[in-house]
Amino acid sequence: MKYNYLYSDNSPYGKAVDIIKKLDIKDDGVHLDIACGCAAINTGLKNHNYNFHYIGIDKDEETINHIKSEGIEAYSHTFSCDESDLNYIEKIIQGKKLKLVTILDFLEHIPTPECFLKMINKLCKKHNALLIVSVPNICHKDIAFKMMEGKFEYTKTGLLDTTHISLFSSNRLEQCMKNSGFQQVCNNDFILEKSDQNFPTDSTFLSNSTTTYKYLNHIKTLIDPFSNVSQFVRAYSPSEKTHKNEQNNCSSGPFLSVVTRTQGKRIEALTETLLCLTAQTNTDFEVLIIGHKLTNDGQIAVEKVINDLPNWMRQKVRLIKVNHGNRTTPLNVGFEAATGKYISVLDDDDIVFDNWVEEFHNLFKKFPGTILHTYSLKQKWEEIEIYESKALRACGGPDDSFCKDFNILEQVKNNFCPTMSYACPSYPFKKLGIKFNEQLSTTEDWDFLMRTAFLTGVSNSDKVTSIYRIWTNSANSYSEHNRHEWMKNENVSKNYFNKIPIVLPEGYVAKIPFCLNCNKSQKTDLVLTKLYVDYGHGFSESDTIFPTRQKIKNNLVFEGFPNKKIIHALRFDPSEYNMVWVSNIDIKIITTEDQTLNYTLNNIFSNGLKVYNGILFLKSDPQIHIPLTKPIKIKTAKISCNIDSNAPDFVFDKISKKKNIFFKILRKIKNTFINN
Amino acid sequence: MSTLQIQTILYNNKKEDLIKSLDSIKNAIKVSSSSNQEFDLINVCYGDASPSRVFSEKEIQTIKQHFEESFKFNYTYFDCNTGTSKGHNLLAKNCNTDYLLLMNPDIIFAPNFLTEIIKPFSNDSNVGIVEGRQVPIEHPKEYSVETGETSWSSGACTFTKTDLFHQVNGYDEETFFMYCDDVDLSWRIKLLGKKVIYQPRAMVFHAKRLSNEGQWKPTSAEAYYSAEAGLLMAYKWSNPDLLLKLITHFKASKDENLIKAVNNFEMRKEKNLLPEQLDKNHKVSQFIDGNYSEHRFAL
Repeated sequence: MKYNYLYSDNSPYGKAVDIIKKLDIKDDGVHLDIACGCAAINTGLKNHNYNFHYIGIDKDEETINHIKSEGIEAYSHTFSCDESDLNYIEKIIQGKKLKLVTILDFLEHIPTPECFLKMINKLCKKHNALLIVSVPNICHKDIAFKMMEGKFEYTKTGLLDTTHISLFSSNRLEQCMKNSGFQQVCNNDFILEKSDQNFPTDSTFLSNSTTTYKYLNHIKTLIDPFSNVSQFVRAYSPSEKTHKNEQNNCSSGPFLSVVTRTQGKRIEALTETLLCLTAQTNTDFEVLIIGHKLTNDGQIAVEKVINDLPNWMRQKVRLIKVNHGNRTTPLNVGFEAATGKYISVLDDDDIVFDNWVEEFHNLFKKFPGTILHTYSLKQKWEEIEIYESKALRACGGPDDSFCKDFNILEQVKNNFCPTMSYACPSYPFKKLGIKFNEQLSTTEDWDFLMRTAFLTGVSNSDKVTSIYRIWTNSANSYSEHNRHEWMKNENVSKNYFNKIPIVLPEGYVAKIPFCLNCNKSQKTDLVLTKLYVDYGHGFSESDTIFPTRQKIKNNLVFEGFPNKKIIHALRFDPSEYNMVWVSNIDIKIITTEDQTLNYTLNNIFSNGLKVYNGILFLKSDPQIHIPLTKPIKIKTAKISCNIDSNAPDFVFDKISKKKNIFFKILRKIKNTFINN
Repeated sequence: MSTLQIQTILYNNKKEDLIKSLDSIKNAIKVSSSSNQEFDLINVCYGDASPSRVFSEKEIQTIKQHFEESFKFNYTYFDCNTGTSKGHNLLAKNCNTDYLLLMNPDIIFAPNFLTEIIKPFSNDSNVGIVEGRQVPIEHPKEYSVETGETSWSSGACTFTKTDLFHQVNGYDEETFFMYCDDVDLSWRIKLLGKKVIYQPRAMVFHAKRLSNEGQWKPTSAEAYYSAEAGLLMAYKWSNPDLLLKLITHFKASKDENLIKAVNNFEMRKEKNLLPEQLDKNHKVSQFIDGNYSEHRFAL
């Protein structure tokens, strides 16, 4: 007998038994077990005190005779996937009530599983019976990663059993069941981090410490929630509706979907944005205007702007109202509703040149699948009142600071790409689950851009196709959200970026500043620093304060401490990187009672080495602890220091000893990078 | 209600751009009609100065029929390169509508353009010209945010009273081929005591592109005609110091457009073809840092 599986709770059979328990199926009827093998599922059910009237069917006569000898009702039969099978089953259940049908590890052995399932559907419908199906997952990451090596290794049993004819991914199983008239009622898949395909164990693609594995695993986990599933174990009931066979259609929409957020407060600007779209040289686009929390008047105004468009343009525009969420929510709604191959966000106050769509399309033809990036100018504008109405007026010249190619190393620190300067392929959003993070109240576009760019890469055109408007006298995201909020949101994204493996496109090694000529120590501006505050619960990312805008270089002022909260400790992180030299430290803590506490190198602690008038941090995540003799309330903290991102030689000379080879090697490595 | 003639001069323009422009005019008329209905008769006149016709007769008939419910379409093939000044004068010669809109051929109207462009005339009888706001690149010239008053109106979108246009004899076609004809027209209308108003709510899309340094890069022809017009403006509007400075600079430069421009000026001077000088007391003319008004920013 090939498949002499015994029951175990920690097996696909055990998962099937769990489903019966979860769905509270009563055992007052027949349990028909198709391709029953050694009736392992029956053993499991008995172990869990279920007393279904068990009937097993299998084509293997030897197996059937074996279990019959143990007193189990079983029949040897080869299914033909037609009415005769139904008649056969009805005959053996002898008019009893059929409660449960299990088809475990069978469908993958037959060429037309849908045909078979349609027959079973009639049976389940007649008896209102539950169906539990189990099939192996052909997309388990072990199989996927080995295929990268060119391997597809059949085994005697398991995921790639030599007798498997039909291969199932989650999608295929779902479609197969829908097309056969079933709807899923429970999912209890059997998960194996390392499946029976996890060999050879020294494969670079399977060893979980290798960079290759980590990157592939990151991608796979991101886009396939079933990457660790060895066996799909799912329960179904006959559905009321019939489903037509669904093909996986390619998008039939236009080339570009334009998502425009509006709150109905900037009607003049919205009119102008739509005028720019009317003027496009390439009209293969649709426009989704997402009206976020529109008032009645706002909705009327937006609808008038749309209705006033020329006929051909009006037909391209849809208004979708969203009444919940923050400013990020409309983006997810818009992207979800988009039908274009590509999607770009053009907010209701930005403007584009007539070649905006055309240039995206030109890039798409050369680099399909990538994010398409063009150049954008920045310009100051203001709202004015003239002839008793609002109007818009440019008050600054075009600024070319955004006119540069997308550089992932720069972009991961700061955003140089206004939303309308790029168009994202819809595939990552629609099919890979890359959504806008609605927990972010700002920087949501940058966060989404980076997570998509890590997968797709970015192609560039140096043509200017848009103007990003900075409003000097009206509400915008900079005025509505303070700097602290901006930096907090930025940090959430950066922390995520720091945890995932990233692939750099070709040509990036030359762009990494660390490897380029830097033959003198570089003083770093204190722009990425923050103060951690302990309110009695220890230090955490959620309790940080960022410096207010610096007027004097290297002098930081931290304000905005909560008035009534007592502070137990402070920690100052001068940088994120190692090999940093922090010198001339002068810290003043001003309490709410206007008492000033002074700190210098002599009365602070750190995870670095004190050398001369500073601290050398050899490890990353440098920290300076500012000890408070007692818990206090703080008004302001002022920190002044110099930070060299490349510690000078004299510091190394001081700490190296003649026989200490470690420091000699360290210095040699440092100088190698500098000189090359 | 009023009557309006919209006119433009073609030169090798793409048909699809022109049809899009006409469609936007039709839409603006529809929007205007559904609100205050400013105009009860509109003519749209094309003067084609291209080496060969942009539209065939058959195409013209199709256009006429397609838009006949919105406006009356006229097409004149000049069979020579008239330039914009002379071309507009020819089109306006027998025009007797209340208003005249002089524009570039690829201009696309915002839906509410007609409603907005006429507003300043309703507010002040001393208004001579109203200029619409160009999108996406707004012209940097200064205007009063209280009154809308500005130094001159761009020929890309100039809305004026027809009788006023005739009163000043239209564009100075003898002096200006295609650049600064609009500045000159504006200032001559101002000499009559009329105002030039900028109406930022009356938007038109004018397809211009900027370099990736945010600069406008003129073509060689544009550079030449701009230089030529600069000399003529300095002369006609009585700025001898500026004229001398330009002549000296152009002669000293190695730019063939500038040298050609100064040669042309001197040829005109020799043949007594220079225009009559105006505004000797500098009541309306402005020459500021190479521009004809204050500018809000550099472009």
